[in-house]
Amino acid sequence: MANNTFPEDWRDQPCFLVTVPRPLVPFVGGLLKIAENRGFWQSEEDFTRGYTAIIELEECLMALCLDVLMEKQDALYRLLNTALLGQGYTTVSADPLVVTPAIAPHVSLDILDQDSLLGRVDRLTQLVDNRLAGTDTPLYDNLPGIKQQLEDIIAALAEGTDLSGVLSDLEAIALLLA
Amino acid sequence: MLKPSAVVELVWQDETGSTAVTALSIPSSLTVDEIDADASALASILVPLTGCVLIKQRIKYINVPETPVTASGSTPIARTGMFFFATDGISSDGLISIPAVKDSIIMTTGPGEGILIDETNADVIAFTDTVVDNGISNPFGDDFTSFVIAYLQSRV
Repeated sequence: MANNTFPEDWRDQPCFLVTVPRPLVPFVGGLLKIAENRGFWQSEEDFTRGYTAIIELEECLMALCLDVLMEKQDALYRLLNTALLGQGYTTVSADPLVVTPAIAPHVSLDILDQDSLLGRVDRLTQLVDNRLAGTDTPLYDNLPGIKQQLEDIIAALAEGTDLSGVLSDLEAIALLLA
Repeated sequence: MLKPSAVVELVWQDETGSTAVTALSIPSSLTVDEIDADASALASILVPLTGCVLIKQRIKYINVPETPVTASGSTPIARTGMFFFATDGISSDGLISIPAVKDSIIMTTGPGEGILIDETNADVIAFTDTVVDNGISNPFGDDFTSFVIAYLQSRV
């Protein structure tokens, strides 16, 4: 009599990932046949649990190809690289899947497209630097910063000089911010 | 054509776990309940004669073609299509095996090339829909409610 038992808490126990080459799948699945039989198990309860686990394992044999899993992981990487840094990709062929540029071993923080997430953050940083501090940045170098404008106003007020030029710059800034 | 006799198999087991079968023929015009009652009565009479215990009794009605038929293809019988079905999500999934499945229902591209059964094939759909719609169940009597996946296994 078979004495094979199967624990009640089998779903709570760890699982192990095994890769099975495609040509081996029919044989691996076929070898599991013995555990589908009531006679393999010690009790009716063991049979119910064991059969359930075996059938789910057999379903899993063809449910998720490792290549597909890796392709999805690569796709997720490209999504992040495009969204964060602006790296563009081109699909050269669909089967087999070839996408260029290839995934690099590492990436730098160089922003490749100002419309990426970090590109937009960089644009905001440059805007603030330029508008507040008057710092010339690659994207913004049009007007003196607000800080400088305020200093000019204060200096002009102290000296009683004409404010029309300063006010004109402030109007231009207000228009830009509108 | 239903054969005139059904087969009753009384399955015996000795202390080592080995099993043997007492096979009896009985008119197939009787119902399952009638045959089951007769088999149980006979088994109780046999118990004093054997050191085994009765662990199972099977009743088989046998239906055969009117005239002998022969397969014309060259598909080996071990090339088995395994069709997996889900139940209600609580009970166990289950399977139905079909021997010697044809190449025409096997995927020819993609990761499952040469092994995966094409679930968009019209004949496959007709089969899986029929299973789901007609109360076919897993070994525990729970009806299949949906098709999961099908692929080739090597089974003898």
